[in-house]
Amino acid sequence: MKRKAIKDERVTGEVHKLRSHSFGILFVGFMISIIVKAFVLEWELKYWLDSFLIVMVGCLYFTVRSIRAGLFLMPDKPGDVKRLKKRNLISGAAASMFWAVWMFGDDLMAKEKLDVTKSVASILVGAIIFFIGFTWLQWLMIRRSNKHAEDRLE
Amino acid sequence: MSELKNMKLKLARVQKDLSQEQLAEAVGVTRQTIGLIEAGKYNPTIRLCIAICKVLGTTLDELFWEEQEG
Repeated sequence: MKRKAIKDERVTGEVHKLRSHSFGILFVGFMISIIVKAFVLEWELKYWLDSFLIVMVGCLYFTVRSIRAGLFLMPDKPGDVKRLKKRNLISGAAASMFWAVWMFGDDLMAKEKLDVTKSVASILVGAIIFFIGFTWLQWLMIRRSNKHAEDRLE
Repeated sequence: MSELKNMKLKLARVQKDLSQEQLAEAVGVTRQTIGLIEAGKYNPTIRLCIAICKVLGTTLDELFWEEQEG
């Protein structure tokens, strides 16, 4: 007779913990590898696209599953919700600014004769689109996740 | 995490004349896990606590409740 394997909660818990640590190591490793290949060595896209897609798939899986499991939660108190909204806007603005500075720096390095007005205008439009998309998407994810968490209570 | 030895669990197990291995098999974990719970180095889930209590014929209070000191 085949003996039933023991599913020890301590062992499975520890395995899950170590797996998440391994994922973290892989994630950071891949990110460093992509940054070095894309921005330091300036390799063509085809040489690092696979690593980029692997990271994206991992991130997408984590985000979608987190939303479905209702892990991103909205606070119960209206004051706290307001604070979260504010934090979301600030982080969106900071990310957009970082993106804009990065793009401008890239333009400066890439072109010998740079049309500053044109570059700044296009980056500004891009940053506004980035800001709206970034903050809206973050807020949407929190709301969807919160809804899933509430649905599970019913 | 508190690392107080769970002497109550060890006592209840010995009173039932069970070895760590026998208790582990009865509740579906490894001997090491029971050893670690007794040594206060692992915090079991409520499910495992209940399973242990059922096997040893005790309550959660009797085995796992710690009185506050001071």
